[in-house]
Amino acid sequence: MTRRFIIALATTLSFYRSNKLQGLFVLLGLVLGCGLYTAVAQINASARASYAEADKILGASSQLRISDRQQTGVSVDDYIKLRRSGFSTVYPVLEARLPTSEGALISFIATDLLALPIAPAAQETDVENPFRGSDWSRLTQPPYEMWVPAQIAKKIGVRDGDRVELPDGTRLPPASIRSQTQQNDRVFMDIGAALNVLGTDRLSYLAVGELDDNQQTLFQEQFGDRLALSRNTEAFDLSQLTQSLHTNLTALGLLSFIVGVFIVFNAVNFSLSARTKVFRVLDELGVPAPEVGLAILIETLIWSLTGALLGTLLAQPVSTALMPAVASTMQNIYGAHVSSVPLFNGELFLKALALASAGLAMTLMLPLMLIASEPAARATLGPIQVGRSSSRALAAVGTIMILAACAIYPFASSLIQGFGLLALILFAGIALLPAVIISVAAFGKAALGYSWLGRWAFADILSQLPHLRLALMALLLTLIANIGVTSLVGSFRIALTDWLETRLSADYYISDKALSSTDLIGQSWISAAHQRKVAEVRFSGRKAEVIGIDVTAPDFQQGSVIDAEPNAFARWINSVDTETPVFANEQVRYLAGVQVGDAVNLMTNLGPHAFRVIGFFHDYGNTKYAFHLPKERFDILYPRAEVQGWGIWVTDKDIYKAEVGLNKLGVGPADLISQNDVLLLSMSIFDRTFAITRALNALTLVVAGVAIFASLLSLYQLRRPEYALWRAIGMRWIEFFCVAGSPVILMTGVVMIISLPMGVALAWLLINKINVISFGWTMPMVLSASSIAFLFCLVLCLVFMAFLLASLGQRTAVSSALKQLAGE
Amino acid sequence: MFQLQNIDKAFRDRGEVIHVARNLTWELASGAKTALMGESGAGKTTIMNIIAGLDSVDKGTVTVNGIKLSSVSNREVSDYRRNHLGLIFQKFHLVPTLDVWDNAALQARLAGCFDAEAAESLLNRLEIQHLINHYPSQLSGGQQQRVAIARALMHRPKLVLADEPTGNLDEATSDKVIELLVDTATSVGSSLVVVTHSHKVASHLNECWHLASGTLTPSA
Repeated sequence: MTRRFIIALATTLSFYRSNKLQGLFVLLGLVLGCGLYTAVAQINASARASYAEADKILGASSQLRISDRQQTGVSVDDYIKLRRSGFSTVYPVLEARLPTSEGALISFIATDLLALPIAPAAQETDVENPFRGSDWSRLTQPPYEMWVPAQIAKKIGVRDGDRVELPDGTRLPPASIRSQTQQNDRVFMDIGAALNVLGTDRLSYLAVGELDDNQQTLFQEQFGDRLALSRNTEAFDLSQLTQSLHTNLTALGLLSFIVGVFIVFNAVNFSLSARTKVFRVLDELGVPAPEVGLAILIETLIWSLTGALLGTLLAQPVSTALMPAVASTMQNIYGAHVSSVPLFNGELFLKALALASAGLAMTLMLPLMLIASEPAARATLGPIQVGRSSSRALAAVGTIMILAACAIYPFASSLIQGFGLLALILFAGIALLPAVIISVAAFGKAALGYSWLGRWAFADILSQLPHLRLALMALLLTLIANIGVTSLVGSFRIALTDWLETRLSADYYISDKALSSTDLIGQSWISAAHQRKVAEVRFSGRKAEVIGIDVTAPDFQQGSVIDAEPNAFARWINSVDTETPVFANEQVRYLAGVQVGDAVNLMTNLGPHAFRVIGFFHDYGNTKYAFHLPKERFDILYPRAEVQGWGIWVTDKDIYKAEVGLNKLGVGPADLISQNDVLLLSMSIFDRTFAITRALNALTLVVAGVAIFASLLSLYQLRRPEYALWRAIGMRWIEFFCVAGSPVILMTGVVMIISLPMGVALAWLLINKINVISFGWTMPMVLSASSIAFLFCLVLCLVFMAFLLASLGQRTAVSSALKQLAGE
Repeated sequence: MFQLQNIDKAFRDRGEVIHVARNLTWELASGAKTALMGESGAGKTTIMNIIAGLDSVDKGTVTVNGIKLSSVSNREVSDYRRNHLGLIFQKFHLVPTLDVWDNAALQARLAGCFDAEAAESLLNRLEIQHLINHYPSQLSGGQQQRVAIARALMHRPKLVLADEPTGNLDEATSDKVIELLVDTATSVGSSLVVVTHSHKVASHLNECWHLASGTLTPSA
């Protein structure tokens, strides 16, 4: 039995010896699909590991956090008093983000190493333990030292011993490059060095390992009047906030995998069809069907293992290349510190193996079923009729999916449901595709009845469709996703630009908190100057900001209000109600479920205070809840609110005069940023933020291009004798292109036409459903005709190149193909 | 019609050199109807491909309809095949997505000499006029081969090469098809070379040649 089975296996596998290209395509599909999916899974796992580390500093876990009630940072004096009062697990944390003199932004974190509550066991084993070796002492003694993660050192061009300079000329302690990733992409310093460098005596917060009930009571009694103790929920918040991005990335990764599976399907389908005779011969020679089945199963396992292994290897450079873009997204959108070095674990390989096996099993199932059922079906119906009936069935499924999407839409309120809707749209598109192509072929054939070549070209669509169907579906999926995501990003970019231009209309923003209004009064170069004040509070479990709005400022506008009570502005400005009227951002409405007229309680400097929400305003891209109060009312409720600085509008836009004037007032370059710089910086951050989406979109498009090429190659290999005959009877290349090439272009055209409304629907869902569910804000949808036209031109070029390559690849000697014809 | 002058043709198969033609000379008069016989692997199809300009010779010259194939460009060889040659195969090889009318008219259209009236007459002669709206999958083997004959003859070629045209048909159909092929080729004025293993098929033709070890000999 074993000997017989080995012979059967060797016979079935011998196909790949003479059809190396098919073997290559099975492998290529698996490697690309698994590779991209694993890369994305690795990115997600790395980011989640970073969130889990978010509440740790060099391995020390902080369960609780102490902050200043006035939101001005905890004073060093309070920290010392706490330690002296017996709170020995308290340690200080200072976080900041500063530009270097060369324009790079560095995130810092600093703590008191000697106060870190690291468990003794961890001290022995933890590789991140700062007390391993003796070099930690250099951190705490002048001239100090700062630990720079290797990836950041590479990014900002810093080597061991270098001293980074800030725009005001301050030089940071000498750099020590560390390969450890525990601080993610943050530079680490001792607290003493950081206070010195940053010129402050206030800490961002105090972290606390754990406090029992007695200690918490003691804390409230001694420090409760000015310090607040809260549970550290940063990691939890980050996981919640970033869930949408990770789901989005997973969806794009899965999309790549599905497109890869389509390539595999084509190759497997071809290899099984081509081996029907082999299977029959084995059957005639007495090999039982289960043994042939087992041979195919073992072949599948060999492919899965090889595909998963190579895919996982491919994932390493891909995830390493994409990780900085993800880290940038996390930092810029969510304020989350994520390591730019991806992590790898064996579980990811097992997942890739499971995916590859599942993908191959799926791709094997249909061809095997077809092999078993098609001879009978073909005998009665013929291939074209078989294709037509299966297309009709698929179209019915597609229509049901669209109807289901319409029915579910009003009720979808969670991310899973939102992505379920997206999946319905995507799969409805691919289910409708064959029926639409067959209808277009029938219409074209009838419309071009007078031209035999046109008739033939449209008729040939029906010959090519069964072989190209899956590749075209993969292309359609990719195009829908591409148009949807590109439109989302484009709309976001335009919304952000509009927002920046209207909301940040001041010519300069000055962060010098010491600058007073008396300094600015009487300066002829200033046409308007307004102070910006913000108080940080928590609302509905998340960070929230209360902002004092100066209604006389040039950037004040009423236009962004989306829903409000009658006369809301007049009542808001005059604050005549017993409950203070407040405008909230749309995030409060969509995420916290607050309605116009609802009362909300917020902490003020005077204690808890009741506000009444009288309207909502658009607030694109803000991850925090925000509440707007008139400046006068704000100053009463938050007298100790942090001054963020000044917005200055310059008379006649005379920048030279303004810069001279600012210099005279003692405002240094570090405290000053021009509107143009803000815009450029914001847009560059935005573009970096969405680099991951663009990269994944481009990669998926490449995989779809490979799918088309692989399918065309299989098709041409299958039809080579037929094409050889055409050439033997004197067909010219241009006629060959008309008959064999134009159907591919026509079908691609149909794919593009379907992808347009489907892509727009996807963008609309992303903006108005997923965005609202995930972030709580919306924006106007803007479709970029030029981007879509560029995408379509690119796809047409890609498909035409695939046709050229595939048709050139099959131009072997006509005589050998004709021998095949004669010898069949 | 064509002249093979002292041609040599050999190819390697797993290290063994197989001679298809050794200093072979063969001439076919215009309008002749010839059978080419020989054992499997003797090289009959290769000789057909050489005459069709689809394969080259190692030595010697091939002249068809006054054209010396070795001295003209690929494009001219292609033009020769399109305008002056008709090809028929054992397995018909019709285009499955075209109906009988479009399949039959294919080469005439490629050659730019399609004449609807002549086409109807030809299809009538081949007794498939009533099937013009049918697709290949709806036809029997004999009917498909008649469509292939119509395709090969509709542009009134000087020469028709048929490679085992009845190899896939039962005896009764085979007789009918070869009769129709010879009659129709005669009616359009084409020379005909039929590669066959069947003496019965060969008996329908004016002359018969036998290919063995690279040499052609006339057979009775």
